[in-house]
Amino acid sequence: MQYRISFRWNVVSLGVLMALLGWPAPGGAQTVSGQARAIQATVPGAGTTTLADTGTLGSAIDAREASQGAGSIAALVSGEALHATTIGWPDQVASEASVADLALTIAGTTIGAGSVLTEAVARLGAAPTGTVTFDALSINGVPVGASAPNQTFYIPGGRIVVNEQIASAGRIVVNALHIVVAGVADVVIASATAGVR
Amino acid sequence: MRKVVIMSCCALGVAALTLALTTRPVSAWTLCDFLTGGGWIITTASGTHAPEKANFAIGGGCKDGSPTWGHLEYIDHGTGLNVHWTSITGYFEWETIGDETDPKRMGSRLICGTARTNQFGDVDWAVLARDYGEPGNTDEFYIKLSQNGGTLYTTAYDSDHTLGASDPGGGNIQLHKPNPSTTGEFGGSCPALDAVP
Repeated sequence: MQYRISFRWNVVSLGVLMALLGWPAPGGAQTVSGQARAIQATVPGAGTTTLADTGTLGSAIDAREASQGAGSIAALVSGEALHATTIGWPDQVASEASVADLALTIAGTTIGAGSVLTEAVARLGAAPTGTVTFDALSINGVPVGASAPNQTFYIPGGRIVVNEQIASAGRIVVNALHIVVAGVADVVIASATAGVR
Repeated sequence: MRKVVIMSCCALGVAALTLALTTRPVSAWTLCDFLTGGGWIITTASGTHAPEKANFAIGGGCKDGSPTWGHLEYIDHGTGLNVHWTSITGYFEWETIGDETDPKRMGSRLICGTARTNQFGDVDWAVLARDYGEPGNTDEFYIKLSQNGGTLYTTAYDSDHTLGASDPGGGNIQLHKPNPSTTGEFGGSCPALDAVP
């Protein structure tokens, strides 16, 4: 009996707090989506490898994380302090991924960065937003400054998209870097997805 | 539990994270929340080596009522120290700025746990991470490692802890609002916090 009373009071307290904080009522269930990963590389014949991947958000009250001290995929890409999180609320999803000391070589093109960090936030009733923070990003040793979304650099056999943002209704996928070289590899660095509707 | 946290903060006056203390009072947040971030700082590890880059990934929070959600990765390039988390043992409110109903809160959280290192073996750790708004260059990151009650490593006495406000640095730290799964309180254990210098 004591446990039942305590449980009821906790439920009541939580309900009051949810109302105060502006959370939607439990009956107003929302559809949320969220995922973050530090590095993903797809190489023909070798398949897809991911490092520090949260997996998909399970519900509007889920929170998932993944990390790795250092990681590399063959001779293609390496980084440190790999970080990925995705957190859900009934009215919001926030996902985040980062990589420090990024080094990537693909078909003769080198890409480096002191750190990259991607944030994706989706709020109910508002357009989702994405932010990418670069530090010392360079392509073939040439510094690349902060860019508007979807800035594309063409390289032999492929392209590099910096601050790639793919938005749809209530959902956004933000990739700090997306490098595609046909027949060689498809690499995504610091990817964050957030959606709620 | 909140009183215990404040007592720990006061006891810290003689500990290695003294410089992290502020005079601002801890406000009375009701529900445990989340903190996430990744990036790098310049550290001398409190004067034990020349200034060098240290990369970090950090997460902390409460999930399903327990303050044990999160992760830590830390690499100090001045010594080659690698720290990889093995558990989260505590998540504490340290300082909160702003109104309780503001979903985009700012402030500091203390995250504690155990880790495996390449130089000290298994350790306890404490991280104080601060979200001071966007774009994140004024955010701060402190770390302390201990073993059997003695301090092994700390950045607390460095002259700068920011992610690039004065000395070089990069990345971002985000403090997130609670979600309905975080029905527990801030708390847990933090042996590294009170380790002797």
